[in-house]
Amino acid sequence: MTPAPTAARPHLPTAGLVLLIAAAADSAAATEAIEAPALTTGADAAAAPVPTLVVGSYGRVATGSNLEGQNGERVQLVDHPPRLLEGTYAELDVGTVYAVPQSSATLTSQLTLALGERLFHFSGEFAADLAIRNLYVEAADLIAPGLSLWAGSRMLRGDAIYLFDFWPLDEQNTVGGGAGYTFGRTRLGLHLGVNRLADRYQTQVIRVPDPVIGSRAVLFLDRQRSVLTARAAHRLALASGLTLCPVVYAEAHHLAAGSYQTADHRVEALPDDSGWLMGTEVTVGGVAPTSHLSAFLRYARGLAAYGELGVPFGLGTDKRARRAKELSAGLDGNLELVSRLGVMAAAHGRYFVDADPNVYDRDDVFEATAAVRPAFSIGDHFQLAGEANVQYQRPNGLSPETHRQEKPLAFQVGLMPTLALERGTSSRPVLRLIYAATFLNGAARLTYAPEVHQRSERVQHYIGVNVEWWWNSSRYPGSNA
Amino acid sequence: MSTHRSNASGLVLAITAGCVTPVYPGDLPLSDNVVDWRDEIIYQIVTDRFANGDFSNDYGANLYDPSAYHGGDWMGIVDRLDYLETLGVTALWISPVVKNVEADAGFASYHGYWTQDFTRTNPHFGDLSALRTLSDEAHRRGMKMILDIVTNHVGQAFYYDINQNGQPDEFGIGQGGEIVPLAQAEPTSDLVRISEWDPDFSAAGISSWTSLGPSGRAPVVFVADPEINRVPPYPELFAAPEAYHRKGRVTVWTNPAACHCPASGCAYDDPCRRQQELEGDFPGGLKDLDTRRQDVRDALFEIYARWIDVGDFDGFRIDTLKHVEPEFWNDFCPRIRKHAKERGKHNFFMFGEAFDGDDRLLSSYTHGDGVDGVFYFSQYYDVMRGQFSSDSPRTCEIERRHCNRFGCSADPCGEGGPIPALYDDTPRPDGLLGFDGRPLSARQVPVGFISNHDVGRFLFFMPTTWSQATKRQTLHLALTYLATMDGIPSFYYGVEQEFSGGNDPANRETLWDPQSYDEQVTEGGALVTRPKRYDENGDGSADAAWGPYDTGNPTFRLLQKLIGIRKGSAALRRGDLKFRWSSRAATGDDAGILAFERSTEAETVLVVLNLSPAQESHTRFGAATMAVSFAAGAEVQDLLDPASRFAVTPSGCQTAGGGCLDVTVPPRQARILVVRR
Repeated sequence: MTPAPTAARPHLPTAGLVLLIAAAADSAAATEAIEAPALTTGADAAAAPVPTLVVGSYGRVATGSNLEGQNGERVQLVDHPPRLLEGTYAELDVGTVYAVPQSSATLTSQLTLALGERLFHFSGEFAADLAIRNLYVEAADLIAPGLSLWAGSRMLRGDAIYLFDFWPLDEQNTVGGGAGYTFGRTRLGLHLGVNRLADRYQTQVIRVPDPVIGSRAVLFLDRQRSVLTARAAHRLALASGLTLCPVVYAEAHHLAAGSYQTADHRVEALPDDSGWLMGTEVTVGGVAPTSHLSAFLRYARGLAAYGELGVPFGLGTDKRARRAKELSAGLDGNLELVSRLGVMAAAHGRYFVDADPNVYDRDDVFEATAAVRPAFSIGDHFQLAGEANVQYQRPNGLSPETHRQEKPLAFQVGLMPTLALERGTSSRPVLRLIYAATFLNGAARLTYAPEVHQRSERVQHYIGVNVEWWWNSSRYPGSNA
Repeated sequence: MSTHRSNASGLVLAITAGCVTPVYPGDLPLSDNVVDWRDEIIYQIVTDRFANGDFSNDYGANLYDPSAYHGGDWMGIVDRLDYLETLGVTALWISPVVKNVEADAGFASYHGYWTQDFTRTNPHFGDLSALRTLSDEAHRRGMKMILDIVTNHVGQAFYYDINQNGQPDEFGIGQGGEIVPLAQAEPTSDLVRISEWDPDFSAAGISSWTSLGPSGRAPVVFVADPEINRVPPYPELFAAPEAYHRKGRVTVWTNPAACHCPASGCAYDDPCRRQQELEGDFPGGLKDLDTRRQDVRDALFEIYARWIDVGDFDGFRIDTLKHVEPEFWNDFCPRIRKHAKERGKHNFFMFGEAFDGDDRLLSSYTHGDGVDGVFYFSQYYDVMRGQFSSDSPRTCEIERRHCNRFGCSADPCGEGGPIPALYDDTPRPDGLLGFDGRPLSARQVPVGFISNHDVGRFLFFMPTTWSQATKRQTLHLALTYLATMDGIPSFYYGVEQEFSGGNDPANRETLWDPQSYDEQVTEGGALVTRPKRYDENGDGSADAAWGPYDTGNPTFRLLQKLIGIRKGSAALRRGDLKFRWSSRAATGDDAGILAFERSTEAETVLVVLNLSPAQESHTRFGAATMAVSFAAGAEVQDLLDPASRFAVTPSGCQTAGGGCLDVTVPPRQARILVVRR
């Protein structure tokens, strides 16, 4: 989990998500917004609200080698593997905050651009993968104190397990709107969003005869998935400075019926579908500065078991996902009891069953991963960090190659001499030199095609560099305080 | 910390509680399920077309393309075992289970005969666990499992680089004139079309050919096209050119001149024809394994022994029997028998498909140490197609067909002398056993059928001038014959739904698709498509709509009844066969009459069929009536119509120990007669 925000900006909704996560935080605390020069629009600017430009960023760049002249690659056996070796990714947040005069209310427009893996200097391809991750406007305290309303495209996120780059309870990438209401130490959130993924499950464009001549394209399959989420968080102050923050969370999914045109121009009916999810989280904080321990548990059925951006597979004979289920549990902790030593640790287990009736199904899987990352500070700007992690998978089906139940297992150890802005596991930016060795059992090696070198390597080596930063970021709101 | 650890452990337990531990089916014990194969009623399933129980393996399925995968799978069969149990069948013959080349020339491998990997399952049908689940569930209901196997060939795995340009081509050589096969082309200048995927047979092996003429043996190039799984066959031995004959495609069936035979075709044992059949690629570019090689034989034994182990199969239906030399079967079958016995299966049945109507060829496989029985193609052609679908049947032809099996002292049609038995009556060492422990010979266990996946549906071949009612009557008559004849009856899926598709792929209808039950009728002058209907309650009105897995239609009910009668009668299942009457002409008192007895020491069943499409016929001709085993004075009753009873008389026939019986049978009807107790 990202360190609990110790400070949030009043009336300045953090780009990522005050609505849900900051609810658990003390919204009365203040952070120092990085304020760009005020924007004015003309001679009468004095009468208008003064907008403030707020920028932020998250990013990481990594490159490495396997010591054999090939690119070093991450071993991935589970859905959310340890992130010791991860790829390049960056986000740029640009927010414009309008403060309403004589009021604590604000209106904030937020844009987050995300850049994917492709680096021109690596591939020689002058191109980039670009995505819009946030594009919305939020009004806070405008109607009533504590009430915020938003609409647009947004990443809705709760607390992350940093070591897996994973939000185990609540993560929604949505287009829609929502509301948050804070009263006392309680924060409620509600959101309704839709998507129509560009896959044949939800979208199909076909060509039809034009009434005059030729053809034209029409949207034939057009079915939205609607997702309703609700979240409630409460922050309790315990004795000796400890805080306890319980969260309950729920999702309801619905997918409209539709029709799909097959290659031979027949129409195939796709029935409506649905799903739901219930989950909870408890976070204990205050043991030490920037320290916490969180536990997550959630259970999903139907569409919700695949995630909001997941295309259901393994459908039932009724072409629905209703039989699918996922039980997921996680732990995340960060402990910095002494100034020179911090330890991050995390674990996650997941049992997923798809909707088809096949009991012995390789898509039905239990998987687990765990990681521990101690970091020892030498001076204010140098840390010697290490990580040990494990991934394990247990499919319910037999391997098509060996006809046995193969259980991939990978164990990884890594060493990370790190330069950081300051002490602490959450200090960013950082520059890391990484060496990692990954030990794979036979079943894990079978996950590679026979044609690739990893198939025969019991140990995969990696040496590389990695930099990571966040600053006023929507990804880890408040974490750069 | 201990609290958290404890909680975490509990959580892990909760999460893992739903986990399933699949076991490699080869480690599971096998079951010995068969008492006497003559008791079994086989139901042939084209797996892709029978039932779709798992949408997750519908890779590229298209229900409306007859040449594509439709989505049927093993879990679908499991889902429909109730349906099969209701029908009453006792043995399931399923399509080949191995991984195939996905497609070739626009056709998909939904039938399963285009093997790429002999060791893996066809992912469209499921995985090993699903296969074993099917087998276990079937066995739990007393059904046996028969696996369709192919040893003759693999799928379209390689091409012959005849022009040596490193790519598969289709091209012409020569100039002008008639298109002739490659084997004849060399000395001529005629234009020859050559497909490097599937060139015409050449006894010397496919040779290279350049603009300057022949240039030695053509290189064989295995293809790597993972998108359609056209990759070198597995096991690795089969990825070597030496494992194949490499002589090109059999052409003699469509071009007898290639073997200097008359246009009517070559004799079944013509050496040139047999060489093509044994060494040539099966049409469609299915590459012919060199089964003379002991390493190839060993590999095929290992492959199919393993499939017995993992699938708990009770028998093999062997594809393309006549395309593999008999020596192979004399090597393969005994080893399979021995392996099955070692695994506890004491009655493992192997019957082979020789797609040929000549009893001399079929019977040749009953000699030696090969298969236990043959798929009775000669009966199919001569009886089902030749007589049942005829306007002027001569039932003596049916009796004569069986003379080829058992031998007859005189020709039933009066056109020749004694007919020797062609089929061997010598039991195989360690072969099939009857219920009483006595060995069974191949002569006793032909697998009869009225249609299968390689021929059009029985209804399809009936004269188009016949009414639907006549066609249905004829179908029922043929089913009655098959259900009461000796050997092992095999019913092709969909016959119970009156499917009527023509030749492949039209005869592989989708059983779960409502459109398979549609008919086109003229209403108000317009041609409309609507679901077929039938008379369910017997009031003469078409009161029921036909739909998938219907169990109320007349043909399902008749077949269900026939199967029930066969199951209830040891004589019909295991009894001796004795023909009592057959007609030599399409007219006269006995026109279309065929009568035969099935007898054990304790029971006799008399079956009387009237194949005549027009007239009510009798088991008499003039003053001569039919002699039967039933004692004079007995009254016999028709199991199909219990109200119909006949008295056995002491006179009117020449009989030794029995009586005489004049049975009247309406056109296209049958009677199954037993002594009324």
